[in-house]
Amino acid sequence: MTRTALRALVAEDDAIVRMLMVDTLQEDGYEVLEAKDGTDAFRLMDSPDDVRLIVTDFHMPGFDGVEVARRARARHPAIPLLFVSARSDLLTAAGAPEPYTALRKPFTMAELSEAVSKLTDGLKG
Amino acid sequence: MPDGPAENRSDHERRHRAIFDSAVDFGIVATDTGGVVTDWNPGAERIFGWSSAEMVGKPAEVFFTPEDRTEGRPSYEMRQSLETGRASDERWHLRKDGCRFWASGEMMPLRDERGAHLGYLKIVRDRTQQRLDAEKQRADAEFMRGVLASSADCIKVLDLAGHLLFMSEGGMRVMEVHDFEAIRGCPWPDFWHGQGNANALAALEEARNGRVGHFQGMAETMAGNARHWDVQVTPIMGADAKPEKLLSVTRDITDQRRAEAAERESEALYKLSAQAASTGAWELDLQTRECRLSAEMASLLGMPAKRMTVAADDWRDAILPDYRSLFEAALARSADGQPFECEFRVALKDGVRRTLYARGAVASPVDGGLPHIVGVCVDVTERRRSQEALRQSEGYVRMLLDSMSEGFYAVDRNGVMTLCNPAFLRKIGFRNESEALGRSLHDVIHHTHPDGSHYPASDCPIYTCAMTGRAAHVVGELFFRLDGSSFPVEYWAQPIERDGIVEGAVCTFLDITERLRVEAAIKESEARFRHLADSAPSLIWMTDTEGRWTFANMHFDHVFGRRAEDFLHGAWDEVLVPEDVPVPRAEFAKARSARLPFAAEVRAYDAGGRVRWLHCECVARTDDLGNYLGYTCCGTDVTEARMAAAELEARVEARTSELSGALDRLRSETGDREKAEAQLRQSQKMEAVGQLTGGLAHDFNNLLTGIAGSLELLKTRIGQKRYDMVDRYLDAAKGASDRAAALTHRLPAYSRQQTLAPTAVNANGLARSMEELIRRTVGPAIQVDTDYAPDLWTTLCDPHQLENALLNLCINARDAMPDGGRLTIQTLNAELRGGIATDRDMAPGDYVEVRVTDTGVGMSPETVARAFEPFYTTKPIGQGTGLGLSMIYGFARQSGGQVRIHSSLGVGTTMRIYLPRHAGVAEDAPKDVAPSPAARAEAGETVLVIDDEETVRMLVGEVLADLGYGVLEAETGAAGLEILQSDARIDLLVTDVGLPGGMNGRQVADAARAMRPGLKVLYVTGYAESAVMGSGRLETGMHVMVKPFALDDLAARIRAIIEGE
Repeated sequence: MTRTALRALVAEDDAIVRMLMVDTLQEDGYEVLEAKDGTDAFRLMDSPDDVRLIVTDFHMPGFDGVEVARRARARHPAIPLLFVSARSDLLTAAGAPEPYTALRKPFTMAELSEAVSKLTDGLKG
Repeated sequence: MPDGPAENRSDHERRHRAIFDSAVDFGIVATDTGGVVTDWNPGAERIFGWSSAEMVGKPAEVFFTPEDRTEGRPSYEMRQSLETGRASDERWHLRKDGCRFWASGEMMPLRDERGAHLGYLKIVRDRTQQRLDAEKQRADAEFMRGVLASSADCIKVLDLAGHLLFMSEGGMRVMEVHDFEAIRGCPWPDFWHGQGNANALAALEEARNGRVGHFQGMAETMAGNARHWDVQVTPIMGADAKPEKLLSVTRDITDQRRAEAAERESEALYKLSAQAASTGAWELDLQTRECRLSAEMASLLGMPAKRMTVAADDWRDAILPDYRSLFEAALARSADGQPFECEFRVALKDGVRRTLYARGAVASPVDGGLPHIVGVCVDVTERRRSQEALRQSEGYVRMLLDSMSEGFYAVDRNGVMTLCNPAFLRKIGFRNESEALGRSLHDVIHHTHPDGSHYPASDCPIYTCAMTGRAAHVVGELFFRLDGSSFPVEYWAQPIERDGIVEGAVCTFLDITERLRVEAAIKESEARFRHLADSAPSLIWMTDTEGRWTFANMHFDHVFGRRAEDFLHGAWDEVLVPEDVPVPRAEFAKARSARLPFAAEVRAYDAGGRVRWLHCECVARTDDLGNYLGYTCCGTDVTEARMAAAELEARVEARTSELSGALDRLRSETGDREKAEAQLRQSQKMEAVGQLTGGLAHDFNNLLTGIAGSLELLKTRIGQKRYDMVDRYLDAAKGASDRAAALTHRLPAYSRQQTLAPTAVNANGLARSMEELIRRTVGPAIQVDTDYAPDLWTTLCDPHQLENALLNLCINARDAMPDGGRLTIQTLNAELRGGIATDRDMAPGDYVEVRVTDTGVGMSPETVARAFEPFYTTKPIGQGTGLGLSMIYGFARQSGGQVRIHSSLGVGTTMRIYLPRHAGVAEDAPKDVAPSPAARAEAGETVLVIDDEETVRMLVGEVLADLGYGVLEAETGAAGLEILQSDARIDLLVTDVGLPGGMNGRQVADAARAMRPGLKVLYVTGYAESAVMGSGRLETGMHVMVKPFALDDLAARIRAIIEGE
């Protein structure tokens, strides 16, 4: 594989789910940064500047997924956003920046791969 | 003697007998000294009812009342009369028929001429009679009307001037009137002439004055026949009670007169001849004292019975010596020209003594010779003897008359007094008998009517009685004393008759001054009573013993507009509302038979036709002696009171109805409210569940994602043969599953309806078990800290409610910290003493405190004050019911505790739940059972597993088999029971609670226990314990495991149960 591995940020407070998501994306060829809450996510997306994809939980202690998404869009207005949440219907109301994709929990890892793949099609070279 | 010598003994006896018998108003009883009756007159017969034959020889005390006899009254009276000469009283006496009557009585001793005590005389007068007089008079009047109607007398109606208006048919017959029209309008007195005319005019005048005019006289019939008439003229009263017309009744008494005259004539002849038979004639020359005697005279004197001439001295010598001076004295008087009269006794040859009576007239000889006496002489021996006897009997009667307090006198046909008693003399004012006897006393004592008008003797009933034999009883006329003063009397006139011929009358009279005074007093009293009764604003009436009305006061007039008198004749029944009559009447009759008081309320129509309610009370009336007289009744108009009462009743009823309606509504509202509250409680729980769901959805989804994802990747890795990765995903899946189990374990408690079921609770364990739930619920923005007292007391409360309360407090805390903050859950042991407890409105004692503190916005004092009010909320609509705190408060109070709030705006809020310390040990509080190494089963130990879910059955069965237990499986309760009924060894029954086929796990376990007492049971259920436990606790040897559970936990639990813990 010659293509450059895209760097993705996964923000999820549930360790098991986070682990599974990270495993899946890594298997799919992404370089994955893990954040266990919003604060972690801010820190990670500030330093390594090449985060190309944000996968975030909606509900998290501290800053929630919407905050994470806003911060990311502020730096990278075109960065793809994937929310995973039981209540994805609340995202717009909560102020999630458009456009975004949402995965409703519970989801399968295959669904995650597919959703991430669609978001990054144009990014892959 | 006033009567001539011809009068004989029988005449006297008759007269005195008449006197004695005429005193029919007196019971005259003579007794011997021992009180045994010796004589009993007709008056006594009449008054007492016993005949003379019945009473003579009997003790007189029988007519005394039993009380008097017991008191010894009869002997007392005899004693008193002996001591004082007389005993008088007024008291009750007994009649033969047993009834009592009021009588005046006099008793005096009887003595003979020498004063020796012979016995007693008792004179009794029945006073009861007076009460009946009015009735008697009415009856008389009735009788008279009958007589007039049927009489053959000449009955005429005259106007007040005396003109003829009507004449009865019988009258026309006797008056020989052929054409009444010919004499209609003629003055009736004109039919009388001379004295008759005067009498007629006087009778008219009497009648015009309201009295009865009466006379007898001669008048001719229209045919010119002279007849003798008895005439009576009476007034006919008009409506104004004044004479309106006059009634003249004329009776032809000609034949009667003739018969009387003939009788008198023949009687005189008889007397003459009888006397002639024993009359001697004599002639005595005053000068020569020479006597010429007839043969009869000689015989009388005991001389030879031939015409002879003797000397006066011979006559004198024939007389017994004691009487000779009388003879000489009589001769001496005659010498002075007075008539000769002398009574003397002679002794005849046979020694028989005779009494002779001689009288003669002094006559001058035709030839001018010396004066001489011509006379007759009769033998009066028998007469004197009878006179002597009569004197004795007269003494008897005399004593009687002397003893009477009533005045008594007798008159002859001419009204001349022939006899009187001392009472008469005393009352009239005579000094002795001789002043009165022989006089015609009408003009002296009876000359004036009470109204002051002249009272002619011809009108006097006593005279009338003496002349015609008509008895009379008069009350209220005046008798005059000699001093000119008067007194009112009641008198009775009875004729003295001899052989049917009226010879005179006896009159007995009473001075009724005192009685009239008493009557007047009674009248006054009655008038007062009547005035009082009539002015009373109530209906007052009286009845007699039979319940007949005898009095009704004027109020009847006022109320009913009818004369009160009408009510004495049945008007009462006419004014009563008809349906109100029968029952009170029957009840009254019943009460009357027992003389009991009686009360009733009846309706009557008043003068205006309106219905009035009358409250009537009747009480029996008695006289002073307790004799029942009738009922006295009083009726009061209670219409207003009834109406007020009815209105009140209606109001009360309406109000009651309202209240009852209100109560019903309240009940229904309470029911609704309870329902609503239940719904709200439920919705509150659902709200909490919603909060949970909101908070936990995240977790569940994470967990499901984790489990499913692990399995997914596990499968992938296995497919890639990357087996080193297997444990990683297995552990992940297991971890997620455990967490999910821990969460679901808590969830059912919040979705069930519960009532308080206090059990011993360890609040620390309870709070700990909820920590995760709370963290998830309040969200990651809020930091949850805990601070549990290490040796926290046990408390007694409903654990689910406490969970609910804790969760609600945490949710409230979260809502108070929209921007995040810190939530602290604490448990403490609180010893509240004295004032502290009182300040918190609690009983002093030990409490477990569960405290939830937040760093939120806080509440104002106003909000704090209202925080526990139901439905009070500060949350936006849709976010809270407002019931949370009030339910927490209710729970705490119900559990014997309290809830306190401490809050400061901008600082935060502390909520404290106090629950009473419990002495017991906490039952298994929800706790995380740490997996323990599963122990191997003993040989042969067998477990029966009943579950309709095959996978569960298989899983459990395999786990148990792995552990070395023998396993029996059944899908339904019935199949399980079959196994239980067999001889198979079963150490433990593991059963699901919810089973298909009509028999749940509980029922299976109960049946199993019936067959195998003490069989150990483990319920496996996805629901709370209460579903299994019912209202009570689990029996010994019964256990519960709540799904989902780890198989290791199950194995460990089964081991512990089988080993008997």
